[in-house]
Amino acid sequence: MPEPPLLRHKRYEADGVPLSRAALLELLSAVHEKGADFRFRATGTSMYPTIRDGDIITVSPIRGVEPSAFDIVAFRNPENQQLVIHRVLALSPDTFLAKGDNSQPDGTIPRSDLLGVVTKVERNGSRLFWPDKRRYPFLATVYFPTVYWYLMMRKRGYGIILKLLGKRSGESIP
Amino acid sequence: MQELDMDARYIPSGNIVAREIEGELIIVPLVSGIGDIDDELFSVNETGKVIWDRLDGKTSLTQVVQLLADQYSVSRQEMEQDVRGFVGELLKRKMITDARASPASS
Repeated sequence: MPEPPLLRHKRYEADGVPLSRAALLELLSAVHEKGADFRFRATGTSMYPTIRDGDIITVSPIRGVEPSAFDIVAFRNPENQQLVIHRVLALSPDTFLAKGDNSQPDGTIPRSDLLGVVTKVERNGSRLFWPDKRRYPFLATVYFPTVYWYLMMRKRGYGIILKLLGKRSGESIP
Repeated sequence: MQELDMDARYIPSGNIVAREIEGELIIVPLVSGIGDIDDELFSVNETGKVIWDRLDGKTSLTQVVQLLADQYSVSRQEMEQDVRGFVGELLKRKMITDARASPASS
């Protein structure tokens, strides 16, 4: 006698991370093929502090949204065929450069591996301020580079600026 | 449980994504244009998958019961109870639709 047929509701709380990154990639592609957005729980810290482990993110199909530098996108890592959510740093007609806000650069990725744009982020049940590029293109174009440069300044820039200021001050002292 | 027409033929709804991933059948309903796997992620066990594969719009539930009863050498009555329970759950969650009512299947 076979096991009775069962439809099981998988829940993050009960099952932990229910799918591998490769499985996530396949599901995201299948959902996007139907023109729908894909909402899932992010894992990892490579985009910290912009996206944190456990945040719920929504990735919209790339159709109708032209990605630009500093957008946060979903793409297929060509080396291991896994889903990655990182920031675009530069684009050419055929490739783009990406990097996590808290990780090393990913290198050059073919544009054909670009899957979608992150259009919504939720943390602890609240929606973060995150302008949806489809509805507020101008705001998104201003907001994401500003956030990126702020993060980079906070991470590295302060030290350099303070050193420069200190050196200039020192030089001005007779 | 809602009464099932065992002569009906069902097909997967156009408002779901179903994929066999890493040996497991995964179903994601698309609600309001969103495939939300944080709240709505379902998996189907092996027996369920055998039934799911026969929900092709051509095979009636009566035929599905007969096929599976023969395949697994179990009584028709027992298999019908399992199929009713499983298909009823799929219908409740709108994952399948009656093929007669859905000429435009996807």
